[in-house]
Amino acid sequence: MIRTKEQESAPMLGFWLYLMTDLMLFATVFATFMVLRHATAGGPSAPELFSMKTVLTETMILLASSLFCGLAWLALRHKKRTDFLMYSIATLLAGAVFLAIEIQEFAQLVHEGFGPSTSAFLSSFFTLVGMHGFHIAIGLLWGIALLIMFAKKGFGSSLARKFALFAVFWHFLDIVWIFIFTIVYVIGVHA
Amino acid sequence: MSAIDDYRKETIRYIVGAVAAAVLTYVVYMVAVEQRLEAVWLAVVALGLAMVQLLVQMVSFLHLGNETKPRWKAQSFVFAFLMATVIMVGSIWIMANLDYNMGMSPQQMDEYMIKQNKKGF
Repeated sequence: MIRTKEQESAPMLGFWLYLMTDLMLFATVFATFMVLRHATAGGPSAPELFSMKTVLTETMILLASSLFCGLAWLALRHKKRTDFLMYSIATLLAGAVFLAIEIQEFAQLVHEGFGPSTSAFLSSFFTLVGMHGFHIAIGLLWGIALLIMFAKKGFGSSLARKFALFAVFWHFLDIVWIFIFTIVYVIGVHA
Repeated sequence: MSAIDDYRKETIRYIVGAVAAAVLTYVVYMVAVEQRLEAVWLAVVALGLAMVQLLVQMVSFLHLGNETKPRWKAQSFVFAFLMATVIMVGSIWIMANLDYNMGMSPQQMDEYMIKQNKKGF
């Protein structure tokens, strides 16, 4: 396994510590959701609202995006231009599809009259899943900015460092999604 | 020559990690949809497999087992994860306890309070 200075640099450690505080933020929102998940105030509960098939599709797309991101990072470390370009575009496309499905799902819920103000359960659902989606949106903008930088300057020394941070951010979001899938959907719908 | 081998080997590592994660996700999905398990056991199995997948992704995507000595990332992660668990389990515990104790009529509540007072501290 090749070790690179980008993986253990000071900016990387700093960014990692930011992610750990982000983990705390997610933990509190997860806690809120778990406490309020039965507080439907007479409104619909999880099994009536969510389609497990859609969620499985979303999960697999985000996982694919995370894989492409790892491969792009690897190609960058090995200075493979075409591979890097291909994989990073695939990362962003898969991320965009994931976000589109999620926005569509949210829009449908709101359209049917089950917005965040319906019940404590839905408030906490929109907060948790929406917060993850917001992170994904920020990540997409970040990824596009990095691609523009690549188009202008190619493999500069700073692209490797900056992409390493983006890759860690992106993998982190997929890891958070594992728990959203498990707690909000699998346990929320079936247990 | 060896750089190309490394590239291929690491690509395979990433793909193996992703396939393992996909299989774990699909197993949880099938177990949930088939509804073979009781609710409590489904929750236990789903959370257990989520923890396995967490480890798989940490190792294959974030290379957490591959750090050099002070291992700041692994240490800060373990501590952050511990705190996150305390926040989540603690919230559920406290709120369930509150729910249980507040879920009685005012009369029952009075009796309960008197009984608890007799116990003293």
